[in-house]
Amino acid sequence: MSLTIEGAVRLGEFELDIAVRAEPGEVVAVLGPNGAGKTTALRVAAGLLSLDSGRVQIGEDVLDAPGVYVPPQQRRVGVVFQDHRLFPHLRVVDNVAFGLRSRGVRAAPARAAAREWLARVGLADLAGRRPAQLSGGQAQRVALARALASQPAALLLDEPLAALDVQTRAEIQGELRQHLADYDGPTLLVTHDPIEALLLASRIVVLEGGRVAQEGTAAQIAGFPRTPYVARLVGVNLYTGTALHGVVELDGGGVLVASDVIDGRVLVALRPSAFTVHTELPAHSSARNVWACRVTSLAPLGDRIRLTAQGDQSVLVDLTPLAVAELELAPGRDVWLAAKATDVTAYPSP
Amino acid sequence: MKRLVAVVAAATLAIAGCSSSKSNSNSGSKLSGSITVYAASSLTEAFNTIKSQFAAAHPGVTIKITYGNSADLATQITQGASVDVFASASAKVMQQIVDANDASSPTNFVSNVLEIAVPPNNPANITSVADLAKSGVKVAVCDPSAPCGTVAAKVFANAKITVKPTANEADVKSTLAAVESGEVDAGLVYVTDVRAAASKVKGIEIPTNVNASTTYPIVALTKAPNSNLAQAFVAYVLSAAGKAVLTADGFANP
Amino acid sequence: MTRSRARARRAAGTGAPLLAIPPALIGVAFLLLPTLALLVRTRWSDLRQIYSSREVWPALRLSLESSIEATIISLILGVPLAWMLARVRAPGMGVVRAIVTIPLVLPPVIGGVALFQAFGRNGLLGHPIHSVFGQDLPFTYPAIVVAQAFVAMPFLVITVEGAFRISDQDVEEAAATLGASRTRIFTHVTIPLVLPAIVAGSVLCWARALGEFGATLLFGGNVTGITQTLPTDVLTVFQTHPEDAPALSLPLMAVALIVLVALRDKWLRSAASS
Repeated sequence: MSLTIEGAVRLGEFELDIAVRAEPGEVVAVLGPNGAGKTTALRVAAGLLSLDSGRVQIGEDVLDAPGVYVPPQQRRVGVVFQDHRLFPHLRVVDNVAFGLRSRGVRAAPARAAAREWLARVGLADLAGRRPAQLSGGQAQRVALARALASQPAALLLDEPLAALDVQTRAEIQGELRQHLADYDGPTLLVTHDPIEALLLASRIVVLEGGRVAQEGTAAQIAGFPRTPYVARLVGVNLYTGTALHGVVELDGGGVLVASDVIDGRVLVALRPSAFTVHTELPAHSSARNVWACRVTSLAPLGDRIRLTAQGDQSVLVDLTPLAVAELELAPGRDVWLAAKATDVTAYPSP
Repeated sequence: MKRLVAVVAAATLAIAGCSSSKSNSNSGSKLSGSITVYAASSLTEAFNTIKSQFAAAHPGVTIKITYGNSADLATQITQGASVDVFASASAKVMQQIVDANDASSPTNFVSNVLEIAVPPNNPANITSVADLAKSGVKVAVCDPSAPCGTVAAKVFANAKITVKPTANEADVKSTLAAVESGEVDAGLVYVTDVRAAASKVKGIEIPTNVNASTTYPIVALTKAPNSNLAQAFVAYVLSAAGKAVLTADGFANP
Repeated sequence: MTRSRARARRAAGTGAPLLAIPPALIGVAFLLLPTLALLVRTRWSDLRQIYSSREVWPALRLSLESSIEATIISLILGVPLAWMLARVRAPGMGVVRAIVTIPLVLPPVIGGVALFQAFGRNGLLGHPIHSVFGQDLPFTYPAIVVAQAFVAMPFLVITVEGAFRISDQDVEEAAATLGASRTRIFTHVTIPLVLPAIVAGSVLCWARALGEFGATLLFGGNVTGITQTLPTDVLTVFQTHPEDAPALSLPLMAVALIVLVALRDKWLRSAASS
């Protein structure tokens, strides 16, 4: 049974207008910056919020539509929250069994099923503890077990790893991937971390300002980002402009020559590694694009240095530390950036 | 202190010999200042009248009177309250003060007997003391620690009845108030209280052979801050004028 | 080691503020002295005789029974009221809260007067009840319980309302997504989470009810064995035999001490295990 959310809801000044569908067994990531409406979308699916227009549906069951609203307790959705929200007054095993007990299962079988789930997330020996005695990672595992134990028709995860430290996050991501693969219902994963989306989801929906900015597989999104946010996410320089036979007049100034033959309104993408930096105007170069810029900042990025420069446009360039040292690059330095036309990708603007 | 009794007796005779109590020159030296009087609550109306008369005769003096349960007032005095005159509703309570050396040679000035007070419409149809023992009748009496409570117990004993009171009120005025409010069917208060309450309650007399009385003593305290004024006040209460007020309110001779 | 640490703290400017010490010490002495004086002045050798002749046992039993009943009533009515004050957003909630706070600021003896106006024979509610059922509330044992509940329930409501306010509604959302009905959320999640506050509020409420004097004296009638609580008994004893009065305070102090110590232990233990 697939999960469909298609509709709009207004919360004060903010409006969410979204259409998402997740098939059984599929993990769809809802990716976006803070305030984009990702958590709102999840709360709509969970029934903690209702749409002003449109519908929420799992399989044939309509959960939210004009004139219809099914409260959360009657939707069979499992939710894992960012802050685990385990019941502090119950032991771990009773936390996991809570959903089953609420649906009428008797204490003994519910606890037995709970213990099985705890074993599956590797925490069987913590069954008798209280949530306050668990680490962040353990608590989230219990929260996942709790959500899955009542065999939900759809699984909703609200930034499940965001509150964990980097090391724990890395450990759990792998496990989470396996559990999601084992779960046969549709999964909606809300996250602001593109790596998490890449790792766990087969399809990504990018949400910005309450609207779907882009949707597709990881490869589609990384290759052809459609908004500055997405571009920043995948680490790409993105510009808008008007093209004529592959020569693009960029909005805001400057010209880029692309290798694609294309006309009309376009998006132009260049990877930061596509630029070379020169302290003098390069002569006799094969690069079709040369820009005069001033260096605004330098920041380490792994084993490289990411340089930000400003000319008609803002540019991200990746360099080796050696290159930065040899050219004596520093903020305020005037430089020239060169890029080959073949490294410039232009595609039609939506 | 026999001297005190002598002074009081002399003052009484002197004032009794006058035609009007409103004349000025008999009290010897001019009186001034203020006194605090503690008096049993059954003396409320009478002492208020006496106070106005006394104040009119001696302009410039202040008399502060606190009314209450005599036993309660006595405890305050023995615990150190600064009081000039004490008028109690029972000799036994006054004895407490004397035993504590706070006073000596009190004078009995009036006595009082009880009466049954009922709300004007007499909802429980009380006609005699015996009716108070009937089940379902709500009776308010003074707390056993108060003089009127002790007297009420005596009345019940005299009438050979057992009454289970519904409420033990702090003092006789509270008992009267309970009857006035209609919360109880009857209350045992003094005849003076029934009189003072006028149309707010109806009084049912207790026959003399069943009734019990209590004697009221008054004294100026040993450690009275304003001993002159205190003794003058006591003298006034004991005088013919004072007596007239008390008798008019229903008090009997001691 | 400690001396140098204290010196370091003083040097850093974060040691004990000298200005605060004398008032604090005076404060302790002020609160301690009357209690100590009671213990010192108690006639320990005559205790048994005092207790039997001054009606202490009936009064103590009545006090304990009525205050416990008053607390139970306060729980049954007060916890839902606290929930409503904390969670329901409706115009007029502020007025309701003010009404709940009134017995806190009203002198108890005025509370007694008010109870007469409401439940007395001629009271707003009392009169119709008297006409129909022939029953009166004042001067009965239930009147004691009612008077105590009137003055003590606000303590419970305010304490528990505070806890409901700060309690975690996120966890309640999680319970809803797991299929718990609203009732089940209330009984299995909300209440357990505010249980410490409910216990604390009950203890406050019970202590207040146990010590209530003015409203119970007025509305109850102070008849030994029926409506005489220990506090009102103390008044009577003080009026007639003041030297016996200190001894009467002992049962109340002992009960309070036992309960407070027992509760402290329980909460320490559960805090340690969690």
